Amino acid sequence: MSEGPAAAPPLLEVEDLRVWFPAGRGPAVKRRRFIKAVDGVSFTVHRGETLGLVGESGCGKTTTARAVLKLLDPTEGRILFDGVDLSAIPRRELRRMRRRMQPIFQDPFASLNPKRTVEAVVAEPLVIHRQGSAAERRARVSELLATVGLPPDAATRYPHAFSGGQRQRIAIARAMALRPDLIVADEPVSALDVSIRAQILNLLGDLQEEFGLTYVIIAHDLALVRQVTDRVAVMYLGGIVELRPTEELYRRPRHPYTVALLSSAPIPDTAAEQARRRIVLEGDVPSPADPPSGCRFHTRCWLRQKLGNPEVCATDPPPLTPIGESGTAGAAACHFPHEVAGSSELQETLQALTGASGGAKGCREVPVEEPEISD
Amino acid sequence: MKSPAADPAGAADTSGAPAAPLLSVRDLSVTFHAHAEVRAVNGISYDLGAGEHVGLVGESGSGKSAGALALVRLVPDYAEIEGQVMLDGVDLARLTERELRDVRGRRVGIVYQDPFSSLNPVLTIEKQLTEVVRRHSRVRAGKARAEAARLLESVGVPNAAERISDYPHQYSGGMRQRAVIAMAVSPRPALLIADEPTTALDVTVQAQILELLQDLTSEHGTTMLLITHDLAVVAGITRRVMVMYAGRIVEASSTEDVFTRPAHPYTVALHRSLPRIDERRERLMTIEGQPPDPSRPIAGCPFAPRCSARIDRCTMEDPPLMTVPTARRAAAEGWDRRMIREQDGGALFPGPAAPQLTACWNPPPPAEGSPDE
Ligand SMILES: Nc1ncnc2c1ncn2[C@@H]1O[C@H](COP(=O)(O)OP(=O)(O)OP(=O)(O)O)[C@@H](O)[C@H]1O
Ligand SMILES: Nc1ncnc2c1ncn2[C@@H]1O[C@H](COP(=O)(O)OP(=O)(O)OP(=O)(O)O)[C@@H](O)[C@H]1O
Ligand code: SF4
Ligand SMILES: [Mg+2]
Ligand SMILES: [Mg+2]
Repeated sequence: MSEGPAAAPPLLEVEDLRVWFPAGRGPAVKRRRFIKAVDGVSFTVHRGETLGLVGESGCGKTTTARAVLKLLDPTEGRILFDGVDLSAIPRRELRRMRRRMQPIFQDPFASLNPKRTVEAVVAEPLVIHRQGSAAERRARVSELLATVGLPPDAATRYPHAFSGGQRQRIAIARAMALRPDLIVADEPVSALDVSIRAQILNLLGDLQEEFGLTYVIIAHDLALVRQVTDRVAVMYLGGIVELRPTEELYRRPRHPYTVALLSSAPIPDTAAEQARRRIVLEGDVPSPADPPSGCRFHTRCWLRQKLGNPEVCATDPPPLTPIGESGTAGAAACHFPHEVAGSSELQETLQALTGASGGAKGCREVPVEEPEISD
Repeated sequence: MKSPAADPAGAADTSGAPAAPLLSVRDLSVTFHAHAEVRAVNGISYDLGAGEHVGLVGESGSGKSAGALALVRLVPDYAEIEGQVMLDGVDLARLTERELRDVRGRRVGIVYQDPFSSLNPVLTIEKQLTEVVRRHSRVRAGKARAEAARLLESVGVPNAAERISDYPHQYSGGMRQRAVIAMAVSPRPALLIADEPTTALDVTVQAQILELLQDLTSEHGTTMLLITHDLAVVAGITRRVMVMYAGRIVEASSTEDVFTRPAHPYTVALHRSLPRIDERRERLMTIEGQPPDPSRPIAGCPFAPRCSARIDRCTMEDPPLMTVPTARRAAAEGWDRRMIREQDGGALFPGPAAPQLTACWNPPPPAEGSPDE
């Protein structure tokens, strides 16, 4: 689970990652403009842990994942895998490192080559990395298919003969082929039928337990993220605004954007839904080519408005600052975490969430929010 | 135990006769005669009362879109529609294509699932909105433009007066959906079909769009059929929910019942398998297997292969929608399975106490309070 012994070095360290894409032609032809898809992101992932990356469309989740997997080169920043800086090692060594991290993509339909048998698809990473003889590879494939819950005869069939959930199992089997340490899963179930999702989520959990896998899971579904992660990084416009142990995030969020997200997420509970008032964020997400100064959320921040638009929000970027003294409660990037904690908006949001599970379903223990945080 | 109720569904609880429904669907089926024959919708029946907000929930391929678009015959040529659709007492099957187009323009507004199908990328929002306005009310161009601007403002596009001259690609996803909604509600339709109106949107925008739909429809007493694969989406803004599976309505209940005492094993299993924002579970319950292939005939209950409550009858006989008597809710403890009454047509009458219907031979016992226990 989340906090392993502090001594063990993290499996993955991302330090001040920036990925800027050259922006297309615009009015300012002379000035070089960039889409700052990821703009100063830092996090670590420990062995055996699951980190969730959440945030709305375009906030930079996929770009972060692609940089971690070395599918693109960062504009700036470092990525350390098992203590090794991936941009500072020779190609051959990089290849060896990359074996240990594997992606799983959103769309199992697009990510599998339709012209190859399942066996060929699953064995492909083994072939590319020249692992084992043909016979050994075949044995490994049938072992993998069993691991992900596919029948042995799946090997000789083609991906199109499988349903979405089964195809995602095939993709997972392939990702597991090289016995990776880290799996980066970008929206692994959002293309699947709702009745299939639990199968895949449970499979990912079982594999983690059995093989000690480390996950980075990207999702926009906050309910799913609560279920499957140990820690969560909330992204907004290319940056992390809050990074917390999962239950802390859902019970004691400390960034106004997180509170807004939680207040927007639908709750499968009629009473809670009808009673709740939502925080409405005004306007649209600003362009990542021209992010706001200071706090990147300040143009839409409900708390800043409530506080009478303090200047500091528009001038100083709030750093990710640890919450509380223990050092285990994570961090948020807001100048006013106490005000978040004491706000009626937060109270109402949490009430809707806890009221739902506590009310309709009877005696479920739900800790009450304590407005005070130590500092 | 009491004997089975003898009244038509729901009538026992409504004072007086239920008002004639706005929309009445009987035995609607849609079959696509493509390379394989796909029975997308398989004999569904329901009523929508004037001003009602009803959710149509089901996973991908369950027939939600086909069933809804077939109401106004918006299906390709190779699709065959059977059954009866009455809108305001008019049998839509008897209308000419031209009359139908009029119904689609004025009486029935549609927010399509695919956001790109509703907006023309090469025309400004103003041009498109104005066109819609002129199509259903013969007003001069100037007046139509003013109405278009008013509409765009009414759906909450900020700076509407200015932004109306933009092209769709200059709008964010949420603004585009607002513009699409403006078009759909512009003729003040009696029925609004919103097909996954928020699926492509972020949660913060989704909440706003749902609120907008809620406000607009309540304001004008518009009936809304809200289609979604996300159960949670219907919790706040519908009063009744119909759950579809494999082309059939397998459960139809008040929204509250669907969440607190679902009456079909599929609904129960969905509740248990979905992660919830308000709690973390030990482990998600899975629904093994997958939905049936709609191009193959199904013997018995379509959910039977995946159902943990399956009994012999389930694999042999297709269960119709049957009423779960309201007595079940009054005396949840002593509920008796025999009280389920087979009901012809499975008609749903709107009313304060919507009957709970289930298409199941062995429905879950009413575990009081929770779909979880
Ligand atoms: N190759 C590229 N060239 C230019 N811009 C890009 C490129 N890839 C991504 N972007 C931009 O970078 C930003 C972040 O994109 P990214 O795909 O990482 O977001 P995301 O959080 O994964 O969103 P989603 O939830 O929609 O998948 C977006 O503004 C996107 O348009
Ligand atoms: N134009 C078409 N031609 C052939 N088959 C079709 C067509 N449209 C839908 N179908 C099939 O009919 C069935 C029901 O499709 P429908 O689009 O109604 O599902 P849905 O419940 O709306 O799903 P989704 O959530 O994916 O939108 C599916 O099996 C689908 O493949
Ligand atoms: S720093 Fe200011 S603008 Fe940013 S989230 Fe906190 S209050 Fe809002
Ligand atoms: Mg992405
Ligand atoms: Mg659809």
